[in-house]
Amino acid sequence: MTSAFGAQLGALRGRRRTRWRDLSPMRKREARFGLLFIAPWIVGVLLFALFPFVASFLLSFTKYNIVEPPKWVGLEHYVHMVTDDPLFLKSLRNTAVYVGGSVIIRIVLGFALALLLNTKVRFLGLWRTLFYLPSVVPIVALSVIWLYVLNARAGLLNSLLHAIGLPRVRWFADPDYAMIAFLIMSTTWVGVTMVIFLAGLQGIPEEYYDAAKIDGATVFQRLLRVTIPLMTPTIYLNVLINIISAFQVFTQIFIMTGGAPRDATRTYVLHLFDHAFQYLPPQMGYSSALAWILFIIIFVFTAVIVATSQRWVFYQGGETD
Amino acid sequence: MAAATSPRSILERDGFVRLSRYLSRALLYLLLITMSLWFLAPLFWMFMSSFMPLDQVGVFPVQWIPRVWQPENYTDALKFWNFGITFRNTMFVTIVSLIGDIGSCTLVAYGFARFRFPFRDALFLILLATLMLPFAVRLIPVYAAYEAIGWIDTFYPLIVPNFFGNAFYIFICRQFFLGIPQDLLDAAKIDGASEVRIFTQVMIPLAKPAIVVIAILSFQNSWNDFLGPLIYLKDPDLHTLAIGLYKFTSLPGQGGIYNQQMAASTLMVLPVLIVFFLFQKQFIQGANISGLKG
Amino acid sequence: MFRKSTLLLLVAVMLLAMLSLSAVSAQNPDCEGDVTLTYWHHWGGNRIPLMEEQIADFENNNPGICVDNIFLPWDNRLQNLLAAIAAGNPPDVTMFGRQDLPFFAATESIIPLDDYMAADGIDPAIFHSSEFAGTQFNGKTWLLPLPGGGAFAIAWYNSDHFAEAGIESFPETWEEMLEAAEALTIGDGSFLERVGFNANAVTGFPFLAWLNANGQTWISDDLRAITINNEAGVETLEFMQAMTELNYGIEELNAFWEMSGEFDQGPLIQGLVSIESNGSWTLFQLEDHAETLNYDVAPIPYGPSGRADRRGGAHGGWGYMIPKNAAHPDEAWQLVKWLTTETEGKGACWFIQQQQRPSPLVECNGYEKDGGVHPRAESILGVAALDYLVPVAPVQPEANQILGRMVDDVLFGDSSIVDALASAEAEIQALLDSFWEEYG
Repeated sequence: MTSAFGAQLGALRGRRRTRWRDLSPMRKREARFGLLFIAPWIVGVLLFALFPFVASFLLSFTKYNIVEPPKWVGLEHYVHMVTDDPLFLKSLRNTAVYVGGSVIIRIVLGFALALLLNTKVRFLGLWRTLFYLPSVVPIVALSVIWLYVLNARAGLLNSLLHAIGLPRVRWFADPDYAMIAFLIMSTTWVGVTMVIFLAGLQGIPEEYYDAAKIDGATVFQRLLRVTIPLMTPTIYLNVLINIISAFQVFTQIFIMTGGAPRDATRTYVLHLFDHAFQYLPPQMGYSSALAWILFIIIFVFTAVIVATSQRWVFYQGGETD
Repeated sequence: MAAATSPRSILERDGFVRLSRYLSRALLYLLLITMSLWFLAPLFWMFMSSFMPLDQVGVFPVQWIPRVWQPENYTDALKFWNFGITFRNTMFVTIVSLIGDIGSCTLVAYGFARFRFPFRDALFLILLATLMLPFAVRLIPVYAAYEAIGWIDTFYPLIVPNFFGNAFYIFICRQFFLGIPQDLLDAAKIDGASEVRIFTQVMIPLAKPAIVVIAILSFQNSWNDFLGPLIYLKDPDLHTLAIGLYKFTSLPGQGGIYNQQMAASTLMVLPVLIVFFLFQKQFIQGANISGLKG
Repeated sequence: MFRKSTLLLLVAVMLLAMLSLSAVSAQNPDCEGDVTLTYWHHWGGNRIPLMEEQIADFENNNPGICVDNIFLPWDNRLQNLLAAIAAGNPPDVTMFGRQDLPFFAATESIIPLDDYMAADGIDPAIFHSSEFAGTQFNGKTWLLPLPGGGAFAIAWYNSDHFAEAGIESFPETWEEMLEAAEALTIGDGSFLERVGFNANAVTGFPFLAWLNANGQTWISDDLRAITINNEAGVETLEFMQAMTELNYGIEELNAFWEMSGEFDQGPLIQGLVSIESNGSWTLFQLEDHAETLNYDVAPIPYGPSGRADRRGGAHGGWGYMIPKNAAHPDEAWQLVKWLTTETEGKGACWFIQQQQRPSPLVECNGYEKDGGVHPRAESILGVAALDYLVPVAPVQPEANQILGRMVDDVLFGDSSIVDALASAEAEIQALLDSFWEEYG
């Protein structure tokens, strides 16, 4: 996606703008067909992206309870957020912990598993299927199952700890461990990144390794000098995708704890959701303001990662300009 | 795990390859088995405990084999949860959404891939940019709009948007169309085929692999969707499986009938696992396209 | 893979799905009428068949009116209702929590019933006055009550556990309650095997329930000022704290509660707790287990500032109301009357008596189910008599969250009792002020 992103940007820069009246009749006909084909998406983007984007920005300056028309309140919500809503900061902190933890888990563990499977192991397809399997399970069902896995008294995880001689942990009853519990649960989706990394690893030509071997590089050196650099585009893209989605973590937390205990698992989107759909009167305006802050945070993160990517992402054969 | 020969000498003599033959292969498989257990144990326990008596579920450390097999957990769970209706609703939403997704995304992708028109690249950039928009930003205005036109408590909010293209699926499909050689199209054009015919009779059949991937992603999306049905559907006769299961269980502190909850979960998970095993390759392909290409 | 047969199969499945979808309806197929009312309620579980019977009898007695009887789950009910009202397609009649009335009444999202009552000669005196009081806002009647708002906090206890622990009678005061609970709790000091009593698991809002049992209401009668930061508030939190500590602290207690079950598999039934505080509806569930469970009923104990004759706050309760924009308000009123005032047939009396609960109607408190009076029903009625009316805040849902956090602050040891009370009081008062500023 990202290299295509770059290519698109390049194309935009490179080409002179085509004007409708300069087109030949043949090209006009082609353009008409093209626009006709993409028409559904144009309608879609106006209705389901542009409209909500603008509307939520406007709503963020109003008080809106659904039953009555919105009332303009200016910057009140944004001020309230930082001065008067301790849960805003708390949920932001919790979300940061989840984003950091889960992205590291998915990238590092996924990469490690992919490396394991890339060693000409037998039954590759079987292992890949087994590791990928949990990530196709619907999240509601996963939440129900993991409520038991993480049950403080009889859960699977505490049974495991017990078996290796460790004390039991009161996962969701203990504010210090509740978020860690969700991070442990996030290993469920490691299979997805693993599958992606594995496909990337399999695409690395054998010659690179042969050349490194002739140079006398050890396994570890080959990993550091050959594999990881060649994989940086994929790592980069997956870091980006996982960060964007981790910032929006909601469903499992809504179902499993609802933010408990002590708001230790109250994430940003859960906080936003509660204001819009749980409180009475509903605070749709405040919730919109929270949504916009989230958008800005994600945007800044993406921009920073994209901007710094040139320093560490290595494109084979100059795929992008 | 100690080896008979010193690992160091093997490393020095022969490098990693030799060592791996003797020892790290064993270690490797041990690791793989351990990881498989980690990934599969929760699902396995879900299945086993769905047949256990309630008091066995609470035993610590955990037990794996039901003391008595109690299939009535399933019937008990279904007393409070109309599986038939929720299953039917989910099927309906999933299939109609799937048709919408495939129809609109192939169409739009083809438009982007094969025609030249003003602002095409700029529009495509916008399409990619929408992938970054958090759902939370869309949530409230879209909800308010649906409510204004009376679509709350109908399937429309879950179905209709799929007929207007999904940025990600369009992206996948366009990449695929770009890879189809131009010669094929030219040949069809020479034969006098119209644009519509070329699309439906040449491109679509060629694009089957991409369409299958989109279908699987779309299926997963609708089947697993939770937030949409949660806020848009209130009549229990319209509930989907995800909501049915959620309503059946509840927050910690109140739940605890784990055997029935696991029976209900098993019912929801089974269809997905069946589809997964049937279309394994495409699932993996879908994941790959999502995270690898660009 | 994408063979024609697969496609055909897909199409066939879709057609099947669509077909079956169109057949889904909760309506009674035998009913013929010009008007079909949409009716929402939350009587789940074993009350579903009761409600179906009640509605069928209404249809028989009101020819021309049919009812689309829809059972809705409890959570998100207010959002669902608000959305439907705002979209202009609300149900004709819906069940409604009395604590949620102020917002709906202040925004006139529901219809006042006084004119209908006057026209049909419904006298407010047919209801217990405390029940009827909960239906009022700004001097108008917005709903009619059912089921009762009282008898929410009743102590149900395992008589065998009491006998084992050598406790003769159910505790009357908080002090006695702490002693009894300590004797009933079983564990090794860090791992609970059985909980004597969990003061945090009380129907509704634990802090307010105990504050009421300590003789205090928390909000002024004009609903504009709240007071919890006083002697009674401190005593209440001290009691909850002490009760939690004797159960090895909040974390272990909560961890224990994760396994405790609910509905007809609740912790009392499983023998996991000795005393449970729950509403009058519990009788219905416990009776299913009467053969194996030796249980009894008592009023919850009262606090140091409380009185023996004032144990529970009647603040909850439900009613039936007609939303603004209802399609058939006149016929809807007939249904509301049937559900809340009808003493004949399978009307209001019958429905509550089948469940052996106290009724908001003065006339129907005989507690007869199919002719017989349940032995414990008398005790429940006695408990209900110790209830007193407590006003409900217009911002109750969010206030409950704040109160919940306040209790947690104390139980987790993150805040002193006085500080916690003071900051919660200030926070809720600010909410209240902004509510009245907007809707006052």
